[in-house]
Amino acid sequence: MTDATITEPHEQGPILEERHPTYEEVWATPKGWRKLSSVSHRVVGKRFIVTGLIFFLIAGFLALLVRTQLIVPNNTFLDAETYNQVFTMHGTLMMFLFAIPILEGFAVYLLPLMLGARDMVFPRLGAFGYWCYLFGGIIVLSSFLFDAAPDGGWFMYTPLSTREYTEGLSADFWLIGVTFAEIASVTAAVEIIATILCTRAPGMSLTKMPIFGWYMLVTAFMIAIGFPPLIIGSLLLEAERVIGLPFFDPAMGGDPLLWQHLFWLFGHPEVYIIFLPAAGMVATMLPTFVRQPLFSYGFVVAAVVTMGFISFGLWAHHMFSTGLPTISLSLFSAASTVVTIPTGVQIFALIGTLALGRAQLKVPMLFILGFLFIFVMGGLTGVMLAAVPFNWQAHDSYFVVAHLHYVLIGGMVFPLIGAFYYWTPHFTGRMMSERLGKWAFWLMFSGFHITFFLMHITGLRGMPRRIATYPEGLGWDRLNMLSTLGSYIFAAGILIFMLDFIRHRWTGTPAGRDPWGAGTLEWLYPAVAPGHNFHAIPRVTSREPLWDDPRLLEAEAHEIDGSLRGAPRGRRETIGCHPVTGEPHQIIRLPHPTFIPLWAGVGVAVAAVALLAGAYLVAAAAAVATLVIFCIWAWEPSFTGETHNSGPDGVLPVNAVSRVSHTHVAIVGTLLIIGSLFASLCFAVLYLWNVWPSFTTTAGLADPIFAAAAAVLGLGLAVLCELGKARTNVLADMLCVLISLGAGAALLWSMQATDPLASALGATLTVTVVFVAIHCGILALWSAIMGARKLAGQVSAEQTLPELNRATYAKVTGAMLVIMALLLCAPQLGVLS
Amino acid sequence: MTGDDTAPDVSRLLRGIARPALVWTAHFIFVYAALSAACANRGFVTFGLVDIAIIVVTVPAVLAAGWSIFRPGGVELAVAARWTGIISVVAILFTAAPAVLMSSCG
Amino acid sequence: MIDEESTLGQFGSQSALDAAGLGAELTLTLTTALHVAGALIFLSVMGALAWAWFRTTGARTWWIWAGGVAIPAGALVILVVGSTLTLAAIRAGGENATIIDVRGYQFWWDVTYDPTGDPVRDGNEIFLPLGEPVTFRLTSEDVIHSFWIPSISGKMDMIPGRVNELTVTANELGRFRGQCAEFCGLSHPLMAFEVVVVTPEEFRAFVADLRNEARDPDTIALRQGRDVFMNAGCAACHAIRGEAEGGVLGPDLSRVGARASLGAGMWPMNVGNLAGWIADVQDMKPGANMPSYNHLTGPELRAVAHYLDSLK
Repeated sequence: MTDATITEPHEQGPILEERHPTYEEVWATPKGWRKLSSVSHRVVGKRFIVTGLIFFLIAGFLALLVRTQLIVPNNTFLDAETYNQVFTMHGTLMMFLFAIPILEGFAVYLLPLMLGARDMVFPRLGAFGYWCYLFGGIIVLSSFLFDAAPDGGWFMYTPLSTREYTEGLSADFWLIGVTFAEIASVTAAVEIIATILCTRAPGMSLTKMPIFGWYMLVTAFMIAIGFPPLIIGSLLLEAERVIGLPFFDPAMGGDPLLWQHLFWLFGHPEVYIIFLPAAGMVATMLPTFVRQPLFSYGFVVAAVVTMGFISFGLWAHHMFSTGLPTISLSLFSAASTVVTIPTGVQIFALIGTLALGRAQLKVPMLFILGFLFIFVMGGLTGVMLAAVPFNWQAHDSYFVVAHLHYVLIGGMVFPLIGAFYYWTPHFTGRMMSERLGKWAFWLMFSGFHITFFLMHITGLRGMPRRIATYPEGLGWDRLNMLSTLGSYIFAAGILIFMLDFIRHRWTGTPAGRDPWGAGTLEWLYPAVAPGHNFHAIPRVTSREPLWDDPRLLEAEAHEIDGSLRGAPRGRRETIGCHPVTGEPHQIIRLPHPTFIPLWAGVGVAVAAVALLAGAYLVAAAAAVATLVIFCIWAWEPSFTGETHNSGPDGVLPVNAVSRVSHTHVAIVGTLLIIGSLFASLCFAVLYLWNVWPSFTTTAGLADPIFAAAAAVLGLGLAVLCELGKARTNVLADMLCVLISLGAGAALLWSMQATDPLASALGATLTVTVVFVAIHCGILALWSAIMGARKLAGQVSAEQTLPELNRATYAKVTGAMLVIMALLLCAPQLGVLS
Repeated sequence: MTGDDTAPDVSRLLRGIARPALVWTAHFIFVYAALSAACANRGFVTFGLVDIAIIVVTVPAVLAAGWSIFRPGGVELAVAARWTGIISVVAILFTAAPAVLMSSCG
Repeated sequence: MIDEESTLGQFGSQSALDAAGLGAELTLTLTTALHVAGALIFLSVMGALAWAWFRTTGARTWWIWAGGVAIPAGALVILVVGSTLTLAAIRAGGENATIIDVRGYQFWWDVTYDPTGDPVRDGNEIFLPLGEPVTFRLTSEDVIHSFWIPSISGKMDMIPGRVNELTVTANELGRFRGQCAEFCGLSHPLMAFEVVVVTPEEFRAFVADLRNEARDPDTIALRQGRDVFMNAGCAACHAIRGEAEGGVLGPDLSRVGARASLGAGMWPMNVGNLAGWIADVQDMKPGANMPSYNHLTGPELRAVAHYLDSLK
C-alpha cells in the first residue's frame, strides 16, 4: 500500500482511479457471514443497540415475574430461590447488559455522524468490545441453563457472596461474566474519548460541538474512572472465592464494607453514567422540535462537567446505615445534595429552550415531557434520601425501589424510547408510527406511575426490598396488587413500542432527508445511507450546521464540498483534528473489515468459560492465544511519514504521532483506566490499614531494598523512554525490555516475606504488587514488539513512531512503581507503623 | 490552519472549565482522607488537627475554584468556565461544612 | 399443617408512618416536611415547564441561575441543617441507656439482655421499656443483616466483625414488628421479629423472670416431649435454662411457648404450627440451618411440640 505515487498531490473533486476501488466499495459492509468481520461504527452500533434491546426485554420479563410473585401475600408462584435469582438477574441485566451498552451503542452509531467523521477512530476496538459484551452477557445469562443463576443481588454483598455462604458457581457466573462484559464499556470509553477529541469535522471547535458530544465525552471519562473500582472488587472477590485470599473476611483483617465501598464507588457514578447520555439525547432532540438551538449551551456544558465530577463524591450515601461515624454521614449527605445543582441547571436549560419557540408535540417530544415529569420527581426523592434520618427509614425499603425506578426509567428509558422514535429513520429509512407511539407513551406513563408511585407508600409502610413473599395484613396487600397491575400496563406500552419497531421495517412511511428538520450533521445524508458517512467532510461553522449553512441541504449530500473527497488511495480514511480547535492536522487511516476482533473476543470468552469450569490450563492457554492475537493486531504496517492532499485543508500527514494525535489521546484514556484500577487497589490497602490496625503486623514486611530498587528502575525506565520519545533504536528497545522485567521482578521479589493467605492487608498488597508487575510486563512486551518491528524492517527511516506513546505509558508505570515502593517501605520508615 | 491563532485561547478556556472541578476533586479527597484518618479505628491523627487542616485547605480551594468565575467572558465556553466555577465553589463549601461545624467524629 | 388464614391481622405495626418511638417520630416530622417541600418544588418546576410550553417569550439566563443554582442551593442548606439537627436529636440521650445485644443469624435474631451485667438470652422477640432509652449493640455471626423496627426507629446494619450501636426510645405501649432489611439469603423475607413495649417495671420483671429456670414438665406427656427434645439432639443448638444449657447455634427456647410467633416473627405460636415447623423447617424456611426432623413420628412431634409450647 505504500507505493510512491500516493504522495503526489491530488486535485480536489471526485477522483476516478482505476487502480483503486471506489469510495462506495471501500466503505461497503461485507455481505453474508463475512458481515461478522465488519468493524464499521454503523454495524457495531446497531449490534450494541439490538443486543441491548434483547437484554432489556429479558430483564423486563424477569421484572414481570417479580411483580407477579408479589401480587398477593404468601404467594407461591416462585419459590424463594427462583425469586432471588430473578431479581438478581433483573438488576444485573438492566444495569450491566442493557443500560450502559445500549447507550454506548447509540453513541457509537451517532457520534461519528454528528461530529463529521467517517467512523469511530478505533473501529476494531469497538468491534472487540461488542464481542466481549455479547459473550459476557451470554455467560451471565447461560447460568439459568446450568441452574446456577446468581442469587446474591446485583450488588453481590460480601460475605453472602463468598464461598462459605454461596456455594456452587452462581456468584462466579456473575463475577466473571459481568467483568468480561465490562471490557466492552471501558474499551468503548477510550474509543469515545479519542473519537470526540480527534476526529471532528474541520472547524468544529469544542464550542461548536453538538451538545451530545459533551455529554458523551464526560460520560466516557466517567466510565474510565468509575468502572475500575468494580472490576477490582470483582477480581478480589473472585480471588477470595477461588484461591481463598481473605480480602473481605473479618477474621483475617478483611472487611465486608470494603466491598461496599468499591461497589458503590462504581455504583453511584454508574447512575450518572446511565443518565448523562440519555440527557444528552434529550438535549439533542428537544431543540429540533422547538426549532431553536439549545438555550444556554455553555451553562449546560458546565453542568455536565461538574456533574461528572461531583457524582464521584456521593458513593457512601448507599451506606448510611452501616454505622459510619456521624461526620461521614454529614459529609456524604451534604455532598449528595449538591449534585442537585447541575441537575437543576440542565432541567432549566431545557425549560428555557422550550420558551424560545413553539414546540411540536411529536412522539419523541412526548417522551421528553415524560422524562421531565418523572425524572424531576425521582430527583426530589433522591434529595430526600440524602437526609440521613429519612434514609435510615427509607433505605432498602420499597421507597428506594420507587426512587431508583423514577430516576432510571424516567431518566433513561423514557429518553431512550424517544430516541428510538427519533433516530430509527436513520437506522432503517422508515418512520415509526405517531399513533402507536402515543399509545406506547400513555400506557408506559400511566403504568409506570401506578407501579412505582405507590411503592413510595409501600416502602414507608415498612416493606423491605428483595423479599420473595410477605405476610398478609401489614398494609401492603392492596398496594402490591396495584403495583403489579401497573407493571402489566407498563409492559403493554413496551410491547406496543416493540410491535411498532418491528412493523415499521415493512410498512413505515419512508423518511426523506432530515425528516425532523434537525440541525445536527447526522441528518446530512438521506436515510438510509449505504454504509458510509461522508463523501467529503464539510467544514463546520456552527453548532447546528444544517440550520445555519444553507448550502448543506441545498446540494445533493454526496456533492457537498469538503476535505478528503472520496477514497483516492483505496483506503478508509478520515480527518484527524486538533482536540480543542477542531482544525485538521492529520489524515487518520482506518482499518478495513477484519476478523481479528472476533477472534480476540472468542479468545477471552474461552478463557472466561474455562475459568468458570475450573479448567485453569485451558484458561491459561486461551489467555496466551488472546495475547498472540493482540500481537498480530499490533503488527500492522505503519503509514506514518506519508503526506497527502486532503483538498481544502491542504497537505496533511497520515497517522501523525504527537501529543494531540488520536493514539496518544487513547493512551492517556487507557492510563486513566489503569490509574483508576491502581487507585482502587491503593484505596483497599489504605482502607484495611486504617480500619483494622491490629492486623497490620500480620501482613509481614516487604524487603525495602528490592522495593527501592524497583522504584529506581521504574524512574530509569521513565527517563529512558522520555529521552527516546522521538525514536529509539533496537538496542534501546531491548534495554527497555530488560529494565521493565527487572523492575517487575524486583517488586515481586520484595514481597517474599508476605503470606497473602494470612491477612487481608497482605493479600491486598500482594495483588497490588502483581498489578504493577503486570504493567511492567506489558511495557516489556510493547518494547519487544517495537524492537522486533525494527528488526523485521517494518519501519523505515522517515516514519514517525509510537515511541511518544510508550514514553507516556512508561511515566505512569514508573509513578506506580514509586508509589508502590513508598507504600511497601513506609512501615520501615517508622512513619506509618 | 486557520485555528492556530485561537488555539491557546480556547485551550485556556477549557482549562478554565476543568480547573474548578479538579480543585473540588482534590479538596474532596483531602477532606475524606483526613476524616478517615481521624475517625477510623487507627485514629492516625486527632480530630482537632483535621478540623484545622480542613479549614486551612478550604480557603485556597475556594479561591482556586472561584478564579474561573472572574475570567473574561465573550466566547460561550467562557460562560461554561464561569458556571463550573460557581457550582464547584458551592460544592466545596458543602463538602467542608460538616467538618467545620462539627466538633467530633460523632 | 400451617394455617395461612390465621396470620391475618396478627402482627403489630411495621409502618414508619405509625411512629411510636423517638427516632421514628422525629423522622416522621422530617419526612412530612420533605414531602411537602418536594411537592411544592415539583409543582413549581412543572408550572415553569407548562408556562414555557405555552408561551414563546424567549428565555433569560437568570432563570437557570435562579431555578438551577440559587433556589436549590438555599433549599439544600435548609435541608442539610434540618436533617443534621434531626440526626443529632435522634442520637442524643444514649448515655444511661439500657443495653441489649442483638446478633443476626441466617435467619433469626439472638437477643441478650443485660449483656454488661448478668447476660441472659432470648430470641426473635424483644421487650422494650416505655419511655426509656435502649441501646442495641448489633452484630452478625454470618452475613450482613439489617435491624429495622420502622415504628420505633430507623434501621442499622448488622455486620460481621463490627458492632453497631442504635439507641431507641419507645413511646407507646404495644406490639410492633421488625424485619431484616438487608438481603441475607434464601429466607431473607422470613426473618422478622416482634417488639413488645411494656412499662419499665414490667420490663425489669420480664428480664428478672428470664433468669429463672424453665418450668419443669409436670405431666407424663410433657416429660415425653422433653425426652424427644433430648434424644433428637435439639439441645446441641437450642438452650433451655435448667434443662439443656450451652446450645448457642439456635434460638434460646426457655420461653418459646410465651412468644407470640414462631419462625422469627412469621407464624402464630401454637402446638400445631410448632409440630409442623419441627417436621418441615426446610419447607417453611428454606436455607435455615436447622434440618427438617421429618423422621420423628407423629406422636413424637406432638409430644415435643406440647413440651415446647409449655415453656413460658
